[in-house]
Amino acid sequence: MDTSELKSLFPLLNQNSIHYFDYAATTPMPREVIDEWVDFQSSIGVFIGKGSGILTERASEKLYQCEENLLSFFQANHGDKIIYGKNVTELVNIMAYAIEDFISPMDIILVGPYEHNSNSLPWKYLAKRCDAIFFEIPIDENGIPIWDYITKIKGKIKIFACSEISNTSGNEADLSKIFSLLPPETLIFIDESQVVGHRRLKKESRVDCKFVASHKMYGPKNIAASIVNNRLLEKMKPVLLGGGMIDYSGFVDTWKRDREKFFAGTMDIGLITAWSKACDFLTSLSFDKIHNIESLQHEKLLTFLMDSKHFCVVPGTSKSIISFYHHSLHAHDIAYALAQKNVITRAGHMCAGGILRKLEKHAITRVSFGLGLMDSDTSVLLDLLGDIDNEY
Amino acid sequence: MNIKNIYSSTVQRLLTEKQQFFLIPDEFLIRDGVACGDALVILGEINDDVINFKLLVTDGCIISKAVSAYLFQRFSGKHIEEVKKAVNHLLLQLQKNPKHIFALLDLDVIYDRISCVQAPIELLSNLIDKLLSREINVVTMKDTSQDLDCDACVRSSSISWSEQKCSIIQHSEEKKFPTDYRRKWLQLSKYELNIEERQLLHKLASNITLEDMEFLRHEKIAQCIFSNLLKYDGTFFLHTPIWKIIHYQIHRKHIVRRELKKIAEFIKNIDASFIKGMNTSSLYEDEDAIRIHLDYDILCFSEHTAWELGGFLLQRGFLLFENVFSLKKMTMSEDNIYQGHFHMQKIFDDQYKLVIDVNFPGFPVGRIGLFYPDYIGLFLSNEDQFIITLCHTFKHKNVFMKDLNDLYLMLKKRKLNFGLLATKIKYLHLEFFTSIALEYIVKNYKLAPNLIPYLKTFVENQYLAQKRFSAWPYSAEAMLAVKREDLKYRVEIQDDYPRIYLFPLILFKHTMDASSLFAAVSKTGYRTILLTSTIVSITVDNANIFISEMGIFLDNKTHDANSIKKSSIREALNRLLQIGVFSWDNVMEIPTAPKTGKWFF
Repeated sequence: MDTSELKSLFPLLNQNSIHYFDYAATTPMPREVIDEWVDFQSSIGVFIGKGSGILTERASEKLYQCEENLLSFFQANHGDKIIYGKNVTELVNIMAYAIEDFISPMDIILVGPYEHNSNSLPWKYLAKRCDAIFFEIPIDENGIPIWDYITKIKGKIKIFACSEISNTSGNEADLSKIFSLLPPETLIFIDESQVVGHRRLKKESRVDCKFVASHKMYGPKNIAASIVNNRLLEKMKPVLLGGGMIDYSGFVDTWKRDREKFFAGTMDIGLITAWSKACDFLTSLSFDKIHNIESLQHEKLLTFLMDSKHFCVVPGTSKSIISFYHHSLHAHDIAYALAQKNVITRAGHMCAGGILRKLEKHAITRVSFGLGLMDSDTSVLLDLLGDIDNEY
Repeated sequence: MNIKNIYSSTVQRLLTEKQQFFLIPDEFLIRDGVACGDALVILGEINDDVINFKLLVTDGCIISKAVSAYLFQRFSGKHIEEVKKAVNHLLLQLQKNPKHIFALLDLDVIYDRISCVQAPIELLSNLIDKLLSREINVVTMKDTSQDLDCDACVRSSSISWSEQKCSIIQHSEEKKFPTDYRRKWLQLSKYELNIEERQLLHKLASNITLEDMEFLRHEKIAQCIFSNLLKYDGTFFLHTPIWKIIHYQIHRKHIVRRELKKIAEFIKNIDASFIKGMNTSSLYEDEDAIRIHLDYDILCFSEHTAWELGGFLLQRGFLLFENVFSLKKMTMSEDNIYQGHFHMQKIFDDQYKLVIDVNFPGFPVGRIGLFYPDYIGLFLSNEDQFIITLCHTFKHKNVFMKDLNDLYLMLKKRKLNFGLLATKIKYLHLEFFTSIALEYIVKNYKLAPNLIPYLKTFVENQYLAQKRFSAWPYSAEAMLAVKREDLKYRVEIQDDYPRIYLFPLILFKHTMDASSLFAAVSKTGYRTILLTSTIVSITVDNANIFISEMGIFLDNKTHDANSIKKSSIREALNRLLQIGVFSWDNVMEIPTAPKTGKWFF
C-alpha cells in the first residue's frame, strides 16, 4: 500500500483538503475503526453487567475479546489488568489518588524533566497531599536529562513517573538505564502516549503501570487505559465510587475486587472495540512500515530546518516529532500563517509549560508525523517554511 | 511570505507603536508567557489618579503586540478609575463574545488566539488593582554601624519620591537568640563532631521545633545539621517534613548547575573567578557531605569585568535585585577606588532561585579594606580562597559556621603555602582575625598533627583571644567586640566612607563603552564627576545619577525622605537620550527582579 492509498483510508484527511501534521495531539481514525464503533452501536449498544439478555452477553464477549487483543498489542505482562478512563489525564489523576495511602511524609516522587502537565501535576499534588517531596530530574546544559541524579537523591524514591517520548521535545527516555538506577521498591509509571502509534511497546517487567491512549494511535477519542500489574492493583483504593464497582453497600461498604473496583458508571464498549480495531489496523500495516513513512518525512523537515537561516530545532530523538522555533517570529504567528494554507501544526506550550521553561522559550512550533502523510504534504510545509525563512 | 500581511492593516499600524518614554514605575508585573505563549511586562506609575503605563511584549505574537499597543494608546495617561471600568468591560466582552474584541483589531474571531488577546488585558487589570491597593511604605535601612553587619548585603530602603505621600516604617530588628541556645546548635554544625556532640545532636534533632529550624536557616546551618545527622546515624530524625526544605535546597543545586556551566564558560574569557562555595564545595563532595549554596559568588577583578558579567547575566534572563546594589569608596595606597556589589537572580522551573553575588574589583576585608586576589582563572589559588573565606567569616554580624567548616577543610585537604599565606595575612592586617579563627579551629576540629605547628604561628598570644573572646563564635556580642577591635585599628590607617546605594533607572541590554558614554554625558550640561574609569555621576536637583557601562542608577539616599523628584529624573533621562548617551533599542524592558515570589531558596 503506498502513501496515497494509506491516506485514502482516512475520511478526515480526504474530506478536508488539509496537510495534517499534528499526530502527537490527535491521530485521524481510518474508516474501518469508525465503522467498528458504528457497528457496535447498531448491533449491541449496551454496557456489560446491565441485566441479562443477549445484548449484555454480546457486550461482555466483545469486551473480553478486545481486551485480550489490547493486552497483547501493548505487550502486557502475565497478570496485568486494564483500567479504563476517558484519557491519560484522567487515569494519571485516578492513579495518584488510588495510591495515596502508600505515600508517607518525606517520600520522594520523581518525574522526568520533559513531562506533559498531565503526567506532572497529579504527582505534584499527590506530594502536596501527603507531605511528600516532588522532584523533576535535572537536565544538563545541553538539555539532556541527568538520569544518574537518581542515585544522588537522599531519601526514599517511592514513585517514578516518566513519558517514554516527550510530546514537546521528542526526547526519548533511556528506560533501561532508569530502571537500573531506581531502587527495587519504587513504583514505576510510564506514559506511552507518544509511542503507541509509532512503534511496538516493549515488554517491561519493571513497570508497574503503563498509560496508553486510543486517540494517539488511530483509535477513537474518550478512551484510554492504565495497564497495571496485579500486585499494585490489589493495593489501590477505588477513586470513583458508584454503581458497578461496589460489592456490598450498607453500614460498611465493600468494593469489588481486582480491576472491577475501577468500573464505576457506564462506559462505551464501542470505543474499546474500535480501539481494538485500531490495534489490528496498525498490526496489519506493520510498525516497520510506519517507521519508514514517518522517518522519511522527519528527515526532510529536519534537513530543511538545520540548513535554514532562522529556524532552530529543539533537541529530541524521536522520529515522529520535530519541534522548532524562529529567531524573531513567534510560534503562534508561524502556525497561523501555515494554517492559512491549510497546513495543520501545533504551536504554544503543548500543555507542558515546565518543558518550555527548561527550553527557555515561551512557545514553539511542533510538527508530528503519522499515517496519512504524503510527500506532497511535506513539500507544501517545506515551501511555506522556506518562504518564511527567506522573508525574515 | 510576509507574516504581518496576514493580519489586518489595523494590526500592522498598531505594531509600529513603540511606547518609548520614561517611567519610574510604582509597580510592575511580569507575565512569564508559558501559560499562553506570550511573555509580557507592564510598568505603571500613578500620579494624581492618572495612570501612565507601558505594556510591552518581551516575547510574543503579533496579536498580543497589537492588543498591548491598543491598550496603551487608549488608556495610558487617563484617570485610573475610568481605565479600570473600561478594562473590566473589555474582559467581560471577551468572555461573552470575543468577536467584539477582535473587531477592535479589524479581525474576525480566531478562537485559537483568544488567550493572545486576553493576556494583555488581564495584565493591565492586575496592574490597576495593584496600583489602587498600594500602600507606599518605605522601610528604613538597617543601621549597620551598631552591630557592624555587612553594609553591602543589607537591603536599602525604597526611594521615597517627593511626588508621593509615603509612610516611613522603621526597620524592625531581627529576633535575638541567647548565646547558650546559639552555642548548642552552632557547635553541632561543625564538620566533625565528637561523641558527646553526636549524642546531643540526636537529642536535639528528636525534638526539633519550627522555631529551631527558623534559627538554623537564619544561621545557614540547617544543611550542616542535616549533613551531620546523615553522617552520624541520625537519618531516622530526618523523616519529618521540617527537613523538607533542605531536600529542595540540595535539589536546587543540581537544577541550577546547567546555568552555572554557561556562566563558567563566559567568565573563563574575562577576569573573574568563582569564590567561596563554588570553590569550596568540592571539599565536601568526596565525602558525600552536604554543602549548599544560597548565593553563588563571583569576584570580578575590575569594574569593566563586573559590567560585562552583569550584561551577560541580563542576556541570560537574570534580573537585578533592586535593593542590593552599592558602591563604597575606598582609599587603597593613595588611590580612590569604588568597591561594588550587586545581586542578580534567575528563577528555574518557576521554583528555584539562583542568585549570583558579584563583588568587584576585590573582596571586602573588614568594613573598609579590600583584598585583590591574584587572577589565575576560573578558581582562585588555595591561599587566596582561604583569605576570602577568612574575611567572610568576619563579614556579617554573626559567624556562619559553614565558613569555619570551609577553612577547616581547606587546611585539611588542600595544599597551602603557609609562607605565602602569612605574607598575605600580614599585608592585609588580618593577623587578628586569623588568630581568632584558627585558635577556634585548632581547639574544636581534628587537624592532622603536622599542621598544628604551622597554624600556631598564626595564633598570636598578644591577642589573648581565648580569654577575651571565649564566647566566639557563638556569641553575637563576642563577634561585635572582635569586629570593633579590628575596625578601630583599620580606621587609623584608612578612611571609612559611607556606602552609596544605587537604584536602577535603566539597564542596558548590551553593555556600553565607557569612553563614548563619558563623551556624551559631558554634553548634558549637568554637573559631571568622573568617579572611576567606568562610572560617571551627574547631579540633577539634589539627586546623583550614576552612569555606568551596565546602566543608569540613582543614588538612593535612603536616609532622606521625600527628597527626590520623579519629574527631575525623567527629564534627566530624556536629556541623556537626546544627547545620545544611550538609545531606546538598548533599554531593558524589565527594570529589576520582582520583590516577591513563591520560590524555594
